[in-house]
Amino acid sequence: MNRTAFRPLRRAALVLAAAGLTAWASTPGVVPGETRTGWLNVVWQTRGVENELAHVGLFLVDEEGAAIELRATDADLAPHGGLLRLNGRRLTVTGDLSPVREPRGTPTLRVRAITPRGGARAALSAVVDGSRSYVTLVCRFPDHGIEPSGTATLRRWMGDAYPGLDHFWRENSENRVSIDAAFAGPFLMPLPSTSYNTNGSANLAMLFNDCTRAADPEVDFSQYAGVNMQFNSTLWGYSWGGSWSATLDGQARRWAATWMASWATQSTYAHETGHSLGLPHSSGPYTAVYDSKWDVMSGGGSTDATVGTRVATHTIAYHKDLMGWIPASRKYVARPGTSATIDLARDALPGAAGYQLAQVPVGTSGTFLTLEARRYAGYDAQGRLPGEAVILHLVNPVGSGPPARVVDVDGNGNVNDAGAMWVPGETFASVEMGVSIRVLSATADGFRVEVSTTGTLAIATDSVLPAGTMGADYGGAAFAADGAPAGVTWSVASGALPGGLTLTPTGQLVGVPAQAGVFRFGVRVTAGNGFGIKEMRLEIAKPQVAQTAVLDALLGGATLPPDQQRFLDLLGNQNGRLDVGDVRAWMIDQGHPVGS
Amino acid sequence: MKTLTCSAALLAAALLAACGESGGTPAQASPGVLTVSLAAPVAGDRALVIAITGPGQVSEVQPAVPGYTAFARTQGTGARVAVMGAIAAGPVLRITVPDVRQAKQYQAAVVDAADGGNTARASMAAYSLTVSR
Repeated sequence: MNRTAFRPLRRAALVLAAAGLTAWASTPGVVPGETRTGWLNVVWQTRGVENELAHVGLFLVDEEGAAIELRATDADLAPHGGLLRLNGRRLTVTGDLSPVREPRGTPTLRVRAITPRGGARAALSAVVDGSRSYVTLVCRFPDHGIEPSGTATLRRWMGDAYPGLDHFWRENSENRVSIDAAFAGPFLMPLPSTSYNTNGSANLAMLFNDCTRAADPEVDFSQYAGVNMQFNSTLWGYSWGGSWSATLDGQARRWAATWMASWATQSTYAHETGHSLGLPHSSGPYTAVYDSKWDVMSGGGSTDATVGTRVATHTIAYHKDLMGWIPASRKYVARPGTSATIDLARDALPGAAGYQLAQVPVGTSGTFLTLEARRYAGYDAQGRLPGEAVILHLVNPVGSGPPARVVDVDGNGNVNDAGAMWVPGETFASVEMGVSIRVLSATADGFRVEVSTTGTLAIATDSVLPAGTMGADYGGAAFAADGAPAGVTWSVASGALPGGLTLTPTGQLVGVPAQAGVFRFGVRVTAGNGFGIKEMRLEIAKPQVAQTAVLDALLGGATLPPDQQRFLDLLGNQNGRLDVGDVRAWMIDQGHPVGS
Repeated sequence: MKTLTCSAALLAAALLAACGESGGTPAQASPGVLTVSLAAPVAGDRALVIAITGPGQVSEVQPAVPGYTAFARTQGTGARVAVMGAIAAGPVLRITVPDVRQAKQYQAAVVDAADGGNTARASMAAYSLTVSR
């Protein structure tokens, strides 16, 4: 509405362009020792194709609206608490300036030193709550015939009924955040779309400046916290969400911002507005970013034919805690050397009782595990959520990649299958992390879990157990805890015993090994609230049996000793007697060519 | 009646002629190789145990097919042989006996069998073996 408010922006654009031209014309190489001060805006890039590595853009925008893209490593960011803590702060950054290759390109600065200026985050508070007013601008390139989703559709996606973003984020935040959306447009962009592709990618500064400038005659930006820009272009395959510092209608501040491509769906809007609220990506432990269907901030969502769009799942409990949406009273933080049974309420539409998040410290580096209960409810609908289970994330809040990564024990590259889902009767235990998590049962709206951290009980038994022989009774091991406390209970915490062996609650390893090999497993001892785990190694060998003796026994001669006969039967068909199937299996195992 | 009488006379003449050829002394043994063949295999067999009995001791056992492997144990005039391979209908074993003329008096039977997964067959009733020159 206020045209004059755009003068600084226009000037900034000119300054930026001029600076770029100067640098391009006179400085072909890198300029070391450049210092810039501005607000850090983190913008997460989302590609329209799932499971591609996402780019996280760090833009330092000064008071004039001039942007520079920062190239920083985890080591650069870690001393200041990492990316999420720096997002929105005013910084002075020194580094090596790369020249702008194109007049409209955004310069880049390889970061050498960061100095935060002022402690408070700009615009976004530590707790993200209250009504968030967004204006959605439909901005059209003059050279594109692609029509983005119509205003009616966009209104539905923003609205207070399923699957509108207001409805979606209310459900995620338990009514702590609402999205109040207005619409304006379409507005004509001043340049063809190709002009906005500089340095091989979208120029977010130009897109923001030109779209908001085109809308300014009709829009009073001072009423809004955020700006969604819906373009009539694929934007070269990407959409973006984050924030942008600018002066709009006299308001010099950091705006929640999304840059939406024509292919955007409700889940794209949910994802990008999540970024605009300050949420990072989550992912699995692999190289992909959009591989987790447990989180809208990864690849969570599915097409809902009833509303004709792809609809998002909830975000993960760690993200809700990051936003300040989980009260301290509903967050369980495990202390070292403790064991506790807790109820976890589901992530979506939790009941009034139970914890919404459990956090278990891992080591001393600030890394921790999170536990959350996922059950079918609300946006975590059956068919959209991979299943009902306790989900674990390993969280490293300092790195520049997705801080929360799904724990996937089978390592098969799929974080949406059983390897990442913990259901009643299953135990996650890690000797390295000093953690044991047992899912005891399902509750009305979540799961009951036992969370134990190591520290109070030490297992005295040597980690290398006496070797055994397949087929022969194993009388080898009795576990003991230091100090022999009374009333201890033993169990297998991780891995698996050789078939045929069992660990009794009193700590006796008994049975007849039915498999040979080297077995590694964790044993767990508990006494009251005390708890200890230790990784053990057990080798089970195959007995040496003479071929003549085996064949003689098979063909009616002298019988074999019972242990050897049992070994052959275990190796073969396990029918309780020695037969030609067992002998054939043994000969194959010995490498004898007996035909196929 | 006439026909019967004539037949009896012809049979007597034939028997006399046979005795005449032997010169009146016992026939000399004819050592050699007999073939044990599987007439009715069970699809998917990969291992068999075959029991062989007969009037003379089996002195040597060889697989009849290059892809088979055989292991034998003999005791008296009997033998037990484990045969492994992709067993199909036809010759399975070649056994060396002291007198091949007594081939018809040798008998063979499958007493144990397993498939490619080493699972034991529950019944041997379906198997049929022949021993021939």
